[in-house]
Amino acid sequence: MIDYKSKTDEEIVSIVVEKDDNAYSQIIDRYQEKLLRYTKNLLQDKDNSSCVTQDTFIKAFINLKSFDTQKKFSSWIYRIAHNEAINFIFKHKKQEYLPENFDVPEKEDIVENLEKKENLEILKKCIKAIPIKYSEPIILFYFEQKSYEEISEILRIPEGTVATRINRAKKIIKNICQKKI
Amino acid sequence: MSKENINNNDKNIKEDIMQKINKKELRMRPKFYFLIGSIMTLFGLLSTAILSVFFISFINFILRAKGPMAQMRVGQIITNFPWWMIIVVAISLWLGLKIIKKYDFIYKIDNKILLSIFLITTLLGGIFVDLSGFNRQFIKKGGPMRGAMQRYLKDENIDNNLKKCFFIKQETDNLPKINCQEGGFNRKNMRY
Repeated sequence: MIDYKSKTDEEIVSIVVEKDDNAYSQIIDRYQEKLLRYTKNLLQDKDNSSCVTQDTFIKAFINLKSFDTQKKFSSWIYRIAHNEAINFIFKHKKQEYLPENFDVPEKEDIVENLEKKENLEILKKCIKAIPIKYSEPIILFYFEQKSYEEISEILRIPEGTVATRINRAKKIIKNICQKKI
Repeated sequence: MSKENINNNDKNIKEDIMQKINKKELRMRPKFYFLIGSIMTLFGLLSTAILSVFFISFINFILRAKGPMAQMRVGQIITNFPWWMIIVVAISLWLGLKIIKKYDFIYKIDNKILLSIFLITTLLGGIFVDLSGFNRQFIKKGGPMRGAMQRYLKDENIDNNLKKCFFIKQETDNLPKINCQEGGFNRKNMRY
């Protein structure tokens, strides 16, 4: 009997690929709640987030042999979830986009202490109106507690761009949230 | 979403997927599938890069064969220039960039830098191929641009010395012999 608790994600993936398909249930146990939360924040719809999460696990299983176990599994599966969610949004949903030139004047302060729970709740309400380009890094950073490096791997953008998008997203959020509150 | 709902969703997702796996409705793709994918990606990238390089070298070749801009032959170049080649180059460059982005490490490089590196490398490659005489070897010995270059030399009003050096004999046999370098033409014999 294998003790999966002591195994890393990458080790479990190796077991699934080489020995036992059923070990994939361990991967699902570890990631389903995280991915449901992530896709729900992206799609703003819990039913669709379940479908997208399920598709993510299916796609991950089918392509599991392409995963390099020297790399981080978490970033790999989040990347698949990101792709699935983006495809879903472009197929089914109209995004509430802000005007391209929309910005907060430089002299105004950006949003601070977003880590606080009450601020995160406000953020959830506002995030719908932000273009996906900006909402994604914010969701990954504040809700999924991913580092800039991991966000860079998931979204396939340079770390500098991650930082820029998060800063810009904060400015947009401040403007939107202030209007709503 | 309440904790209970999340748990129900979790259970359904897990049960559904594991059931499909056990019934063999879901199977992992074999490793060679991804290996073939990588080889095809590399092949696609090389093909688009080579196509761009050769078309750029061909464009460079045509511009030189047509004569210098200093002699105000711009009009002739514009009317006779095979503009479709520019479209082919643009498409192959765009395809090349799309393929490059398939590589895992590429996202770390800024898009503008990546685009600049790819464009400059391809342009320099095209100029190098033209100047090194590779394309002249291709015209004589066979190669991707042989037919197109020979047709172009035949159809257009190109310097006869240049035609002679490219072995288009039926049109230049009656001309006096010229000093063509091995594998190419002697620049001294060209009128520019």
